[in-house]
Parts: sequence; structure tokens; C-alpha cells
Amino acid sequence: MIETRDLHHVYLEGTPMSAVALRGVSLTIRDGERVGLIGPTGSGKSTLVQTFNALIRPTRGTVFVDGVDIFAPKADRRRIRQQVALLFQYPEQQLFEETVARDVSFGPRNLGLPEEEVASRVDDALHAVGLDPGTFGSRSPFTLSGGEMRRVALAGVLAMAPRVLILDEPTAGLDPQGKAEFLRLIHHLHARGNLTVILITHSMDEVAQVAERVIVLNEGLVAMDGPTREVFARADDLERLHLGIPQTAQVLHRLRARGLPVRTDLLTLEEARDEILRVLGTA
Amino acid sequence: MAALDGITLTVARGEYVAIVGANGSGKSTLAKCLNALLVPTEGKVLVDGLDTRDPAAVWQVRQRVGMVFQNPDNQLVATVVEEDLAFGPENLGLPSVEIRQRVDEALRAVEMEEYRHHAPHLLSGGQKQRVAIAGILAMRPMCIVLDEATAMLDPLGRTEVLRTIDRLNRDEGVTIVHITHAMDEASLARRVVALGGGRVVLDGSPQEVFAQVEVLRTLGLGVPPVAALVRALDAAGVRLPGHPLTVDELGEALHRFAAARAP
Amino acid sequence: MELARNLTIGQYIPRESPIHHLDPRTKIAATAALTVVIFVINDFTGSALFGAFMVALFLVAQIPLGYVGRGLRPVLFLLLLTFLLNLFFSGIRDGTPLIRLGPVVITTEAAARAFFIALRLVLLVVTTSLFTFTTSPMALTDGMERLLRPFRRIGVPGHELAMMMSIALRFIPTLFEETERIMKAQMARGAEFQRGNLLRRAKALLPILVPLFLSAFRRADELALAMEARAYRGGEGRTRMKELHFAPRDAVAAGATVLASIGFLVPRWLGLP
Repeated sequence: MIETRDLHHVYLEGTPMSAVALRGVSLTIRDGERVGLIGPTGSGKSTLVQTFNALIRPTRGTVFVDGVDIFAPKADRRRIRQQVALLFQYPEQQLFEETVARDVSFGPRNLGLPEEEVASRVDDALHAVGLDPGTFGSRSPFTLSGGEMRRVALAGVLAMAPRVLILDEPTAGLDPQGKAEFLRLIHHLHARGNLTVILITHSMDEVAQVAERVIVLNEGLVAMDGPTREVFARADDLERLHLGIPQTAQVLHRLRARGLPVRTDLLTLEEARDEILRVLGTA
Repeated sequence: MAALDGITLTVARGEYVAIVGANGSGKSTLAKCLNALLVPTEGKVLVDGLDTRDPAAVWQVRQRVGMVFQNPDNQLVATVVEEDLAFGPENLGLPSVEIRQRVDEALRAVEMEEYRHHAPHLLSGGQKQRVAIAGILAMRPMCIVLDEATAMLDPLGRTEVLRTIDRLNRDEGVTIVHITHAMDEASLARRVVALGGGRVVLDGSPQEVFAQVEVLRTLGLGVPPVAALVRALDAAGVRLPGHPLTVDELGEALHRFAAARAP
Repeated sequence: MELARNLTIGQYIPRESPIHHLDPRTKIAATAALTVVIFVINDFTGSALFGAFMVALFLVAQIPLGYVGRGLRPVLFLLLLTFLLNLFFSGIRDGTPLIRLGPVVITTEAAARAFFIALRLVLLVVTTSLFTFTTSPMALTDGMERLLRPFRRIGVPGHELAMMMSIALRFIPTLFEETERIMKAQMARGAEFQRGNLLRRAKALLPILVPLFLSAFRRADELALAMEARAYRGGEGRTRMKELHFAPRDAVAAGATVLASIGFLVPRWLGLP
């Protein structure tokens, strides 16, 4: 469980160049949740998730992971980063080792695990992202395709055996098929274990696919927080933040505005189709 | 390995074409062939009658066909916006008065006048790409090729860039070749060309191309969400005329459909 | 990540002063001339006069004198070191003893000498600061390119050097941002950079340096392609939007510098005190 209390963050505080990123964020993310974190660029999303594993120390307020204050003087940073993993944007750019297996082992080695444990973690992580350790383990990460490199980077984070996985725009730059595969992978990882998933994205369609709960940040504050359907039903509020809603949901809103009695809290293509068919049948 | 495998394609002056294809379909290679950054191993590319294989014509080709790349950071050379805009015209050896005039015009065309003296690294992604577009406009090209130029932008930046190219195409008659794998962006073009395995697989109006759901799927592309919904409704017996592609079009079409069925 | 966004390169302070508007070539030449003057001046009177001259120039440039402190901060250690070295090892043994520390005797003369040399260093920093405060990096590279142009025939690649410098300036903030991001990504995988002995720390840098170099190479590749696409083919046949022109004010500034230099140098040559 991750809990923040009145989190504030100002970059370069006390200088003429200071910039406020967070201005009082209090929220709780429960174990096993699938959360979509959305908001316009500069709303503080990236700053917020970096406080979750102590990469950024907030200027005010603190973060509790399983009830432990991670900014307390004696907090074990490494253990926190093991529990709360963060995959940055374009993560394939962080690969550096000669082989895929060695790169994935970087995290577990840093945790000081024994060699056998490291090896089994590497195998597990590569399996989890759909790469066969026998085929890929000994290859150089730099000979792989973009999509494969990204999965190696994800494996590198999964090898920490985290309980929370934060993904910052994980599908950016992938083609439609690559995107769909990566989202399926996230679903699969969540279903496999009791993994909490926090997804930062600009794509409302991705949020609709992955998240059961949506948190909307705006100017460093939580603007909305609730079940995905409820948040997307507030199309006008989202539009005001230049965020929009999935296109299929937009169609439903448009029909409702034209006087057709459709429900607007539907997200998937199938749901939208059935709802339109229902209304047309009774129209 | 053949990245392109026998492509025959004509883009007329003033067109707005989207070229779509999955990673590895050859679309980036094709883009680089359009302004002589790559020369085809077989066949030829003619730009305004100039053969890109002719070394003497290379600079004229590059003046005529400008290119915006994917990463907004890796194509701006100067530390000040207006200096960057001047880079292309300076390479063409134009007199300084003319360069100044073109820079002013280009800044206006992308609505970045107020950022004239800014440092590029302080701009947003969308603004950087608009500066890149302006840098090309200052060379007075016939055609701008955008090689996945929106892939790294947030939705706001994407909208900015798409609005800019649409206006340049409509108002200034600049030919636009927009290479992308975002299907909703492709649907904004007047013509869509789908590549697969280094060949042209589909070529037609967005309506025609996005009606080919199965073909697009085998190319690893999918269709814009609205087209997918139209397709699903179609399969369930709701046949809408005119292949709606946007939320507005579909809303309108469904509204008509409902009105026609009402007693 | 916001940290790097706010990074400013160089110390340029934009103002609309006559010194800002000077041709960069004039300023490069004047700074060189004044540097020579600083090394020729060998007494306190000269230094004081020169200091007064610089204060006047700062006033004309509309740069608050407080900024000079900013320029001095990075060389403070060097300044102190120079002072102490000269204090103890100046070789001046004669004269009035000032302080006696066991076997070491510091004479008034040695102290004066050490102080004078430190002062010379300060004047040097102040003079070059005036240049960097009033000249944008862009103008600096332009000026450099033009000054080196005559040496093209003997193989000095003036244009290439200037282009390299300007690209470096453009990409320093980007690379800073990138370093920060890669560091954080590796920290998220449990990396620590401030632990262990020197060797361990150096090894810990590998996970940052490898991605950083790879990315820098990729950027260089892409930038080269983008430059080519914009019809770049080196300095040959290239014109500039902002041509450098010597204006009447450049003649005035050059004249003033020459006069001031003579004013400082002539008494010395004539052997006057």
C-alpha cells in the first residue's frame, strides 16, 4: 500500500528558477490495484511517482509504503526501490550490459542476492516478458528490435521482484501492434501475481483498457479520483483539462447530446456497439 | 535485405498524404529517399523532375523537399529559435536581408513569433517540432515530409503540429507527406498509403483505406477507433453510408440513422 | 528533470548597453589587449587605476558589480592557493619581518607581493567576466568564426570549430537532462553512486556512461542527418542572417581601449613609478 500525505514539491526551491510541481497530494493506492495516472504535461505525474520510491524527496509531506515512512532518516532506500519499481519513459535507453541476461541481473545484484537467486530471477523475469532466456539471454541487447529492448528493460525492473510496478508512458513510440502487445503484457503481469500497477499515459484508450481506477492530476493537485467508468463519464471536466476521453465514449456522448438516450459510462468497443444497437432498436 | 521492394508512387503538388505502416514496413526508408538522404539501389525518385541520384541536383532536391524527424531535440542546431530558422536559408547562400524576411514569415506561419529569442531546450515538444517545421518553411519548399514527427509528442503537442501542417496544406498549398503509425492522425489526410513489407498495399482516400480492416490488421496496423466501431455496427446490421471516420461524422450518421427509423 | 531545464550556459546577462551591442570581434580583441595590460601593470597604483577603469566599464554595461562576485566564486580556491603559495614561497627574504612562524618568516614585502598577484588574478577574472556577461555564446562563436576566417588558407577550420561549439552549447542542457534521467533509472534498479571506495564508485558510473554515450552517438547521427536534410554542406557558400558589421561604436570602443592601454603601459615603459 502506498499512501501520500499532503505532498508538496518545488524544484529548485528558493531560487529565481523555482517551479512548483506538487501542491498537496494526499492519496492511497491499495495492493493489487490497477491505477491509471493521467494529467496534462507539467501536471506533476512524473514527480509524484518518483516520490513513491524515494527518487525525489518532496519538499513537504511524506510517503508511506506499507505504513513505513520512506523519507524517515533510517529508511532503507534500496528495499523501497526493490518493492516499488519504476520503469521510465523509453526505458530501452537505460540498457548498458553486454548481454541481455547480465543487464537484467543488474537489479538483483544490487540487492546483494546470491548468484543462484540472481540467475533464477533473471530467468523468471525474461519469461514474464515473453522472451526465452535460452535464446535471448546471451544476446547483446543492442542487436534487438525496439520492442524487444523495451521488454528487456521491463524484465530488468521485474527482476527486482517488486510489489508495485509504475510505468511511465510504456508504449510511447511503439507501433499499434507493439502497443497492443505491451498492454497485454501488463495485463498478464497483473493477473500473474498480486502486483499493483500504476500506469502513466496520455492515451485515454490505454487507460480504459488497463485501469480500474483513474487519478487525474492537474497543476500539482488531484483533480479527479475514482473508478475508470465514473471518471470518463465526466467528459466535460476532462475536456476542460485538455484530456479527452476514449473515442468510442466520445461517440456515445455525442449521441446523448443529440437526444438519444444512451449510457455514457461505457468504455470498450463492444460495450459501445451493444449500447448503440440497444438504443437504435428502441428508437 | 530489401527495405523497399518495388514502390511506385506519385505525390502531386498540394496533396496531403499519410503513409502508414508498422515498424519495419519501410516507411522511414521511403521518407529518406524523398529528399536524397538515401538513394535507391534500384529504381529512381524524381522530385519536380530532378533525379535524386544526380549528385548535382541533391541540394535543389533538399530545398524542394524538407524533412521533420521524430526526435524534436535532435534536429535543432542553434541555441536561439530564430537562428535555427535561419540555418537552412544560410546553407542555401541567400543574402542576409532575405533570410531575415523568410525567418519572420516562417515564425508567423507556425505561430511562434513570441518565441523568437527563446532557447530551444526550454520549449515543449510540440513547440520544438513547430520550430523544425518553420526551419524548413524558411527554405520555401514544395513539400514537407514528416517522418513520425508526432510520435514523441503529448496529445497537445500532436494537435499543435497536426493543425499547423493542415493549415500549411490548405492555405499555402504546401504538399504534406505525413509518415505515421497513428491511425487517427492518418485519417486527417486527404489520401492514405499503407505500406507492408516494403510495398504499397493500400492507396486511397482515408474512407476507402480504413474500410479495409482485415488488410490493415495483417499489416499490424489496426484502424482508428471510430472506424472499428463503424465496422462492428456494420457486422451487427447497422449499415451507415459514407464510411464515417471522425466522432462528428459517426455521431451525425447515427443520428440520421435513428431519425430515419423513427416512426 | 526540471533541474536541467533551468540550466543556463555561460554567464550572458542580456542588457541593451553599448558594450552588449559591440561587435564580438571588437570585444575579443579588446579583452585580449586588456589582458596584456593586466600582466604588464606591476604596482598597486596601476592596479587600482585599472580597477577603477573596469568599474566604469561595468557601469556602462549596466551589469551590477555584485555579479563580479559570481564570476569570482569558482576561482576562489585558486585565488587562495595563489596567495598562500606566494606568501610562503615568494623567495623574498629581505625586508621587514611581518610574521614569524617558527623557521618561516613572512616579510611585509612578500605579503604585498602575494596580495598583488592575487589582485592581478581578480582583475583578470573581472575583465573576462565583462566579456562573458555582455557577449552571448552565439555572438562569441560568430566572432570566433570570423576572426579565424583569414587563417582558413593555412588549414584552421574556423567554421567547423564555431559550428562544433554552437552545437555543444545547444546540447549541453539536453545531455544534462538525459544524465539525470539515466541516473534515476539505474537508481530505481538499486544502483548507488556514493558508496564504496574510488574504484567501486568509478565502476558504478558504467551503467550511466554507457547509455549516455550510446545516446550521444545516436543524437549525433540524427542531427547530422537533419543538418544534411537542410542542405548543410560545410561553410562553403554559406551566408549568415546576422552579418557582423563594424559600427562607429566599435571604432570608439577600439580607440578607447588603445588609449587606455597606452595610458597604462607608457608610464611603465618610461620607467616612471
